[in-house]
Amino acid sequence: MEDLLRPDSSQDVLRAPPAPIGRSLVAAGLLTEERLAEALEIQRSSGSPLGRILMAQGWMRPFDFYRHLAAHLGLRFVNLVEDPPDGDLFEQDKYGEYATLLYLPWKKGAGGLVLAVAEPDDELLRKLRQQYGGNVSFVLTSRLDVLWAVQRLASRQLALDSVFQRTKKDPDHSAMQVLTWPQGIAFVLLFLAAAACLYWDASATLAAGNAALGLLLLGSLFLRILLVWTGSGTLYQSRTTKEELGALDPRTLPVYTILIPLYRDAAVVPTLTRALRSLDYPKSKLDIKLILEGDDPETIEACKRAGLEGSVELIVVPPSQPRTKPKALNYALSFARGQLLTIYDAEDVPEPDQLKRAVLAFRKAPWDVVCLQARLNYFNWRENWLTRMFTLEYSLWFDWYLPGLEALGIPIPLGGTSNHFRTEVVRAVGGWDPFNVTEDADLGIRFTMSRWRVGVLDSTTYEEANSEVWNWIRQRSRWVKGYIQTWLVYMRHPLVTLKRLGWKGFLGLHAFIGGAFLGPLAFPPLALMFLVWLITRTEMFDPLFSPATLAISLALLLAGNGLLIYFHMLAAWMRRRPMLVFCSLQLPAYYFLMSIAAWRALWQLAAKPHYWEKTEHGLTSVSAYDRDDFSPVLDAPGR
Amino acid sequence: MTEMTFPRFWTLRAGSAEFGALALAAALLAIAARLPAAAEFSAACFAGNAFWSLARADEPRTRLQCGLSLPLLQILSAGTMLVACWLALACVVIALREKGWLARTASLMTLVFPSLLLSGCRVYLDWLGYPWPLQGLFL
Repeated sequence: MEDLLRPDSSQDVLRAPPAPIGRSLVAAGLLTEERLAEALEIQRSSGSPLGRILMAQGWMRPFDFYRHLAAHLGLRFVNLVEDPPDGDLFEQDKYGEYATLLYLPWKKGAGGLVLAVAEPDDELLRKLRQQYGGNVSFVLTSRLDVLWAVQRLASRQLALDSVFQRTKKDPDHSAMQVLTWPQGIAFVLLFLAAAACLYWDASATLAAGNAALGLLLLGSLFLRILLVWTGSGTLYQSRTTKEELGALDPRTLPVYTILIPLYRDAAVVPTLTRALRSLDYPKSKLDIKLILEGDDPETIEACKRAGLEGSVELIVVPPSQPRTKPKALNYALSFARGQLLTIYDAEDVPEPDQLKRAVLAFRKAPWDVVCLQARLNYFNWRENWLTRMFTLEYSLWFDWYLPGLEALGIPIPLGGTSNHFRTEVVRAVGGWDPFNVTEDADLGIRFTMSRWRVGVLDSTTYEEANSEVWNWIRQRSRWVKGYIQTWLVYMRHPLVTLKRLGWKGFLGLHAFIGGAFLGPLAFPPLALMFLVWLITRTEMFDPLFSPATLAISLALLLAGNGLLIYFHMLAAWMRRRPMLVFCSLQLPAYYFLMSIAAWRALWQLAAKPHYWEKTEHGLTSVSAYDRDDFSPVLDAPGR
Repeated sequence: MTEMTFPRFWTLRAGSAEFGALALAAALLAIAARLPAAAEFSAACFAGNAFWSLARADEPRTRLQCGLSLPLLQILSAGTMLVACWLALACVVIALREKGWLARTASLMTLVFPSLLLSGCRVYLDWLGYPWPLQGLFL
């Protein structure tokens, strides 16, 4: 038998150790008999390696385990912080492989190359022997040491790739450039044509503009009606039932990567810790990465203090431009080891069984479904008027619109959190666009452009609703700016977009993404015109309204707004929040806030297109675990 | 060996939701084609299906369908208006099944709001002095 750990060996498998590692740990006094029995029970049910179970459960410190494992296997243990690897041996283009397979070239001496490995199994050792030749030997190190060394040695390459890899892969659909030359020329020509028409006949031009705007908004309204009708039919079509969840064999569950970007989020780390500990998924199969910024020592300290070290890895992104969440996600993507991957925000509280539901849903979905968006809602909805409005909006958007989009085959703009992906596909499309401030919406459309599909997951993640007006406006400005960026990106080659999305997807993109910023932008002038007319009954606006335009405008004003209020009422009712049904009547005031944010976004797009306005979290006085503030989950039959 | 084949017959397999959608489509087509009887019948089927389903289970489509059926019946004819009045009473009964007055009123609101909206639109247009666009329909 070949001892793959040693050079020039002819054996086939790892040298058989004198005793199982568990017994050896007990003999060394590092583990009690009871804990070992418990860990072996978990191993039987989950199929995970014993060492990972012990560390994930927090029953052993990683350093103790790896040092003992090295002694157990008769290998030298190296601490890569104290005895760092030779930087010349580190191949920059292989950092992803080092980070996911948990090894790296350590030193080169007279005896040949020495590789440091953290999880030596037959498959990996055989692969490394093939790759580096027979004259290679191994030392043991810890998983965290490998990750630390990779981050240190590849920091420059990682930083460059996290910013430019996606752009290199698909430059035509990168938001690095806000407007392309042809788009710029088209906008200038449009502006000149409008100016010329205004000069020639101002009244007719304004009337035509008014009619065009009315038609666009009417189209957007029709889509929303269609979405609500379709979405309402699929809302309770639960993809996963309690019985199916119960029948799930934990041994078949894949490793699940959870990416959690944090920046100035020290205040919400306790909530995050609790949410992560509540997840109903084998801890040894969780690959959780807290993505931190190098210039944010408070959050780094808070994460270190949270006591999650056994199951969580800290990825520290060095400060560089653009300072965006997608850049941080790209950085961490290189370290993802899970077959499936999800993103949570720092303040998120997902339903505990969400990961299992996602696994089941992926298994039952066709092969081309590569992403599932979980529903988002707010736990602090009672807090004030703003959180109530925000909750109403999210209830309609995630519970009704998105299932409607899915059913109609229209691209789904993903929400910023709780998107579950097949990791290989995210890598294949080059990750997230670091220049797009709604990288999630962009990714959802890019999947559809690549002929993959996005679905909706019947599980809810509860977030903290923005409870302060200015904080809300900043957040909303970023979203609207991102939607405009996304729309502009996919309108660079409209015919290509049309061909790839089909007419339904193409129109849906305009009505849903375009409508999301056109409506709020158009709201103030239209509302002002209406108010002036209502108060003064002036005839000043009469030339702007032909009989047809008047009919459209009245339909939008009365039926359009009324129906939107009604849809919000239904969404609130189905979330079992009767108080919000009545709050829906106040939505026009909320539209006014949206308009402020939209106009601010337009200004920002011109002045600071890639600026990521950080939303402050942890402002709420409501606890995410106050059960009174949790609405019952949509009580679908069988759920 | 030749496989034996049997003639196929159409079977009505539409579920409750599909039936509702078909009835609504039929009602709208009949309105467009100016066929009052067909429109009234389809609208009544749509409403009946909605309320029957809601009485059995409170599901999103059912509630939406109930909410939309009342204004649909309101705009068609005196006969369907009468049905709408009866169904409005049914809305009250359905709402009373909830616990607490807040939930009851909210439930009622999600059922009758479109109907109130329609009436509000009519009053508003009257006030402005504009003709009611649905005036010449069947009423």
